[in-house]
Amino acid sequence: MKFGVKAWSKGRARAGVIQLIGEMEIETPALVLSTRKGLPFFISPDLFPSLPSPDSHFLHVSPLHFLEGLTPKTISNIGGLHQMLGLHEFGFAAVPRDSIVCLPDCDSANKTGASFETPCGRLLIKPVEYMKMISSMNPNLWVTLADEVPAWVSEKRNKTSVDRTLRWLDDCIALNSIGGAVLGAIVGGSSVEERRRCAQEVAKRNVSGYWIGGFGLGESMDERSTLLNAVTDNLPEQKPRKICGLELPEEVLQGIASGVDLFHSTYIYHLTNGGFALTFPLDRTVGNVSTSQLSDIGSDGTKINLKATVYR
Amino acid sequence: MLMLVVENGMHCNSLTERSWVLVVTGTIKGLMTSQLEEIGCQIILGNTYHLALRPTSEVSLLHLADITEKGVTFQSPVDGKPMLLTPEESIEIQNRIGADIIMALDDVVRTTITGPRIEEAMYRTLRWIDRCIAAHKRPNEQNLFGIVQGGLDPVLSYAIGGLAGGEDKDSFWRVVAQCTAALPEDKPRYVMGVGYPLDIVVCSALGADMYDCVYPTRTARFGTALVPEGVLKLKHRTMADDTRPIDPTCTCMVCKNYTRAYIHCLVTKDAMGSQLLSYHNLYYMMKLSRDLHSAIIEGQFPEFVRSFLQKMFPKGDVPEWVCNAMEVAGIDISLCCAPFSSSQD
Ligand SMILES: [Zn+2]
Ligand SMILES: [Zn+2]
Repeated sequence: MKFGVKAWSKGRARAGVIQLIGEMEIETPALVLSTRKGLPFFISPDLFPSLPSPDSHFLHVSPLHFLEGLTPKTISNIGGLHQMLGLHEFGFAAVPRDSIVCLPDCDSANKTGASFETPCGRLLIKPVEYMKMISSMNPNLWVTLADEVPAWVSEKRNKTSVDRTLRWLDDCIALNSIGGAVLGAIVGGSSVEERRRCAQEVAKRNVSGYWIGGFGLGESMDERSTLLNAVTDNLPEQKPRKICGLELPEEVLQGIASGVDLFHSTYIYHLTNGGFALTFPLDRTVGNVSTSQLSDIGSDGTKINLKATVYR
Repeated sequence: MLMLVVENGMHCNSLTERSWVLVVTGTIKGLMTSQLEEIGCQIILGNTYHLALRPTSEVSLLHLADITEKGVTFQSPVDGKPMLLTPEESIEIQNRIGADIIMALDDVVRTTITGPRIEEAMYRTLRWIDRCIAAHKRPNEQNLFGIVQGGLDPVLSYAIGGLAGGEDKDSFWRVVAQCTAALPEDKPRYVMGVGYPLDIVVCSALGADMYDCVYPTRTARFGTALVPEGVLKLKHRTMADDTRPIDPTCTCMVCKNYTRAYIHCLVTKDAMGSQLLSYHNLYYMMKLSRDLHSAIIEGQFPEFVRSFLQKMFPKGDVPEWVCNAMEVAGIDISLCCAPFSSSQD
């Protein structure tokens, strides 16, 4: 993986370029497409070429999805993710949490591993097992195992989550047997102190970039920018930053303003699932839309609800 | 030639230069128009309206409320309210939709029923065909198919309908043989409700031309793939570490890219599983019908049937009804029938 920052805004926002496979360059800030078992939701593989390229060639994959029926050994026999999914020209970023069906479950995590709610129930994942999955899948990027906690946990629990995440980061790196680029996981809940501490520690490790976890878990939109800045201000500038848990366009803009480069496309998943089509203009003309008053048919100035009877 | 029964009516304008008729109306559940072109699908039979027009065997008999001389009353699939559909209305709706093939309304009976009701259905279907022909406003653009009804009574009997119920296979092929023998040669014969690869090969041998096939997509939803050896159940746990493609001899997008293990991980839990399986299954059926077509053109049809049966029944256990049908069709399949069983002690 190669990454470079090309330009900065007056504040922390930056524009860059990331190279995952061959010469293919994707401009950042970028959306990493959500997948189910490695294939983008709702779109069958032979239709991918009709999506904008190369922007759509960066996929998020949760290794936990494959626990439903495929062993790491089989995945490895098939030849890893790219081979298994028939997507040779695509870049994969492996992250356990997908914010759709795999969610962190802080109550069941313990010092040996992180816990997730998944389609096959609640699972405790230890660094050793996680790294077995990662090496069988051989993704282009992978994120170290994190103990993510929601905003309302005690100070003590939050501090523990930072300690565990740092320890698992070292474990994962020590167990790593493949060449894919490592993104070090950063947590710290809604404590500016812990966010800063975690970022500073992870910045000392030998990683290719950073993954910011623990967002979208109950923190308020108002406190978020301060927390994000506490992280990004402590990271080296020339490495990419990926985040999980910021969904809505406003939230993504918030992340960009704090210097985050890569986002998940879960918002698109939820919209499509609900039958919504995005309709707001992408050029910068200010429309005469009288703000976002959600009408009774569930449409507003930014999207239309195709399940509404008026579109029948 | 196969027809696909579709699940959402949507007009598609890709009617083109294809040698045969037409792309009609509709989308296939989970597949896009471009995918269908890739598979080589040429005829699509719209089902949303079709369902309203001539309830297909699957759904219809359940929803069928009443049949009178006026028309068919059935429960609306939308709101469950009773709807009366007359032959004239059925043609009017189909004229409006603009499909290339339209169907006359027929009097549907369960094929397990015998006696005077069968005869009544046949005569009523004939009377309704006359009403449909009279009501047809676009005869130059749309081809009206009559429906040959008559249950399994070989005394009675152009789409050959009423064959998807619980009839046994021996009666089934006899009816098809009877119908095709009695129909004029220069018009296509469409056998309704037939979808298994074996049935299609047998019916073609007996002189049928067209089939609808819900089977490939329906069976895909249950995790079953069509292969030359018969079927492959992707749900089975032995598939979990099978790194081969579904059918190593198939050249479809799915077989070129995916392993049985990966499809196993998807089937029945994720929509993508049935979508990929449907793709393969439709590809398989389209290839089968293409191969059938060229085998007949090249005068190689008996050889084709024999090699098809040998792959599907390598032990020579070809079902009795297939042997009987092939005898009537004049195709010698003695080579495929239990050549080894006699040599076993
Ligand atoms: Zn559009
Ligand atoms: Zn195939």
